Amino acid sequence: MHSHDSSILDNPEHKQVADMRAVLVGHPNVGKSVLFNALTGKYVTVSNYPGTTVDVAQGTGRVRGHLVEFVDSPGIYSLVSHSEEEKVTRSLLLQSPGVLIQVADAKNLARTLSLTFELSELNIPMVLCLNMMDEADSWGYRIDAERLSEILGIPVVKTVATTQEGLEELRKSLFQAAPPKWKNSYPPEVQRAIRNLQAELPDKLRFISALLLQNHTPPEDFPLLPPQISGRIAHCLENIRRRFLRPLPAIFIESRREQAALVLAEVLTSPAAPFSVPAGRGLQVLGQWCLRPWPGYLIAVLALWALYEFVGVLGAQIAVDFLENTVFGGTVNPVLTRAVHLLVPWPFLRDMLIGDYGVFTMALTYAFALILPIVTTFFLALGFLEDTGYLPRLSVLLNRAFKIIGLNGKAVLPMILGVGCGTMALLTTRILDTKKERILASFLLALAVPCSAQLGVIFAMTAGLSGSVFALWLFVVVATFLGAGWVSSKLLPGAPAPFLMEIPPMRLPQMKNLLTKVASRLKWYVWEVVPLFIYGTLALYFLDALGWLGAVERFCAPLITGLLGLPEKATEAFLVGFLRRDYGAAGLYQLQRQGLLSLRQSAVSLVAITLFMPCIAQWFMSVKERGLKVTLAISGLVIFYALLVSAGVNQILLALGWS
Amino acid sequence: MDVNKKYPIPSTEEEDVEQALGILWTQFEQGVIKKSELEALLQEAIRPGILEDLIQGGFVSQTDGNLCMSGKGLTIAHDMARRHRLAERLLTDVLELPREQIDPNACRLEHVITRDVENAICTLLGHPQACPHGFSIPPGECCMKALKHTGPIVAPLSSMLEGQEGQIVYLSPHNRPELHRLLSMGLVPGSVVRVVQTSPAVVVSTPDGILAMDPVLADHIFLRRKNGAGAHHEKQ
Repeated sequence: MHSHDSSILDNPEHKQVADMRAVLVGHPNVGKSVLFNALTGKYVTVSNYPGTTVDVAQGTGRVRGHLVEFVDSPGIYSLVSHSEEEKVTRSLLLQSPGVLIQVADAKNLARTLSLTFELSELNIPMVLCLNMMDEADSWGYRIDAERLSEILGIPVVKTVATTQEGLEELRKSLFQAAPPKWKNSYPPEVQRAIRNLQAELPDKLRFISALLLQNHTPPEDFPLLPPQISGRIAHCLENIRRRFLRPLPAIFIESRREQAALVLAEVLTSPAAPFSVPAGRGLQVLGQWCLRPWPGYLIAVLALWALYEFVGVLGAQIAVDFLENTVFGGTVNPVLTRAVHLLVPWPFLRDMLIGDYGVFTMALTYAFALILPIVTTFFLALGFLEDTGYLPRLSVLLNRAFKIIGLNGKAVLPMILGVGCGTMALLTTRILDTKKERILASFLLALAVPCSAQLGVIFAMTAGLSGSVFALWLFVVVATFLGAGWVSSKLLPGAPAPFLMEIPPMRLPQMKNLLTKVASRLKWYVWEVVPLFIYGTLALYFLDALGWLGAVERFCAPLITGLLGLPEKATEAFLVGFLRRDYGAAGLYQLQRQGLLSLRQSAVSLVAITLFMPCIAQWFMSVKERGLKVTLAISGLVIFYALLVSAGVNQILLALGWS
Repeated sequence: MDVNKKYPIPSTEEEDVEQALGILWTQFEQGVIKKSELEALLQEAIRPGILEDLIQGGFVSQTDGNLCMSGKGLTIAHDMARRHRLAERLLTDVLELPREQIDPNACRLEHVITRDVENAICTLLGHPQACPHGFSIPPGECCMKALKHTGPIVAPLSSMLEGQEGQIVYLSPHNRPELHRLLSMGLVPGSVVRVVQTSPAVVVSTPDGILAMDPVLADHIFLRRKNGAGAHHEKQ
């Protein structure tokens, strides 16, 4: 995959070819994705959760009659990679990107230019897009784009992606893109080092020598490098590094920063205040409040409460109730059932479509009546929070709490998402820095984070009982979350990455962009997640048809009745709970309403169903993200913990005299 | 002797005396003053007969089998210990030399560092109190002066108060990826940052934007504090 298409580099005329490719690259939070949406008009392929994953979105747009393929890459700070995002973007750039569009926050030219200088060494046709010009203007920055363009030798375009200003110019500039004329002037000893290394490299790879010098991973991990010379290169690098007292990356970055400062002096007139946040603006003051313990924690509680009201009540209860009972239960499913009865003569296939574990009656009803309203409200709320810039602030506030369980503040996003839908949440664990953190977060999501579908039924169930049952449930789940997290963080090898995060300024979200984002995520949900529900349902259907479901039930029953002290009928609820978390809870709810559960049994079963296996979609997602081995290990641990804690609760309650 | 030499470089003899006095300072700190023990140590570390030279030169005197430094000896020993330990700090924190190279280099540097350089290094490092081995660094004039003002001038970010401003002097994270990440996020030597808040995470305003970090990382970023920028009037 790393075969380098040198013709792209050697032949700048390629851009005249009708089908060209343009890669959007830049720092995080500079509006790449909004720009991408504007350029392509719509998502053609959304591989995954944009903005928060390392996946790459691709789409096409028409520019002057040419079909251009645009690629949206994950945000990076530098080409020297230590995060997954940077690795993905770097290998994307080292392949054959066509034209590079560096998207930049116009308010932040110093770091923009550092990255421009770094990118210039790739010798790829480039355009610099100074985005967020409206903010830069209002903050008093004046940028001489023409002069900057002269200095760099590439087109420099000013845009406001959110209102599509300057987009036409950006499109036009794609045809004037050229490899930058800018040459980095590093200190003489660094230049000598670059020359030495270049002598060892084949001609067409010479451009990566500066990158190799700054890289801290062994050269054999480096894309492009033929394996037969990587040993020699490693030796050469070792010799060079020994000559420098200070780490080479530091020398490179400082040198680029110095050069950027010189260029800035020519092209930028900035306001007197050296700091990027102008004081006294209402929104920014709110932003500062959100960061401080007081009133930050209060705001966090309010935000989570609003999130719950919107997703947990409006989405998971009102909308679900309407869709499930009225739309699907009252209209869609009866019609489908009748149609299947008419059209499908074979009972086997008929059951597969509309039986107890039918694709229509179970999988699609679940996917569209139950989860779709939840994820829709959730994506709206999440997109809103993302666009305001609140989430990084929440990460800061909760960093310390997450440290207890071996994670850092970045884990806020997956954990909050998990309360919405664990399957979505698993995807966003990719933003965590280390493998250890990703496994830990996946484990905790599977064990102790109930999803909103389940929470709805749990709340309904505890509403009819005494408050002490709810308090007990809450205490046990939170304690398990912290306890299991703490223990596993000690057991898993490796250290967590220290928390380091950029805090973007607070902004008012633009409705149109928010809706585009939500639409693209929903599309992803329908194409990527819904199939998981169908596979799961089919698996369950075959298990049932072959009679294995009953066998598993009989096998597990002693565990449920003996260890947990629950009625035998509860076994079914736990098994079904694997397919639909809320069905499991609903099964228990049914038992409770029939008077088959005592207060103790209600409490124990609630704890057990919460901690027990996640739904099958989350399980499949876990296999996809973490691999089968890790997922099996997590499953084993989850079952063990769930049984241990529930049995413990049972024994304690029995000892306390609960019947 | 080379007559063209503009600046005096200590001759081997002087260097031996300085070295010996430095060793004695360290031993005295630990309470070792017995002549018999110290003579053996000096003999092994420098050369036989060095103690006699010290006594004859009036650097050291002896009473009841114990050694004691004269005023002249004390001054040199103080400077040697101070320069050696400052050099160790410099080589460790700023230049990030591997452990095994710290001591041999510090041993050579202590003899060539002048008073001005000594004080400049001390100021750069924020008038540190102890060397990497934990021995205390004897304070110099510059430390006394700094004490009158606002404590050390160069201090880790984690020690700064809300509202204070400082210019980054150097970073010393324990591994390279972190150093690179900090640098590429705009925490470059020379850039000016302001502390927005210190808890629950350290939040700083930089020319590149606002960054939040674990206090652990803030321990490794060293800033030259801007004078007068106090927490008093900016605290909200």
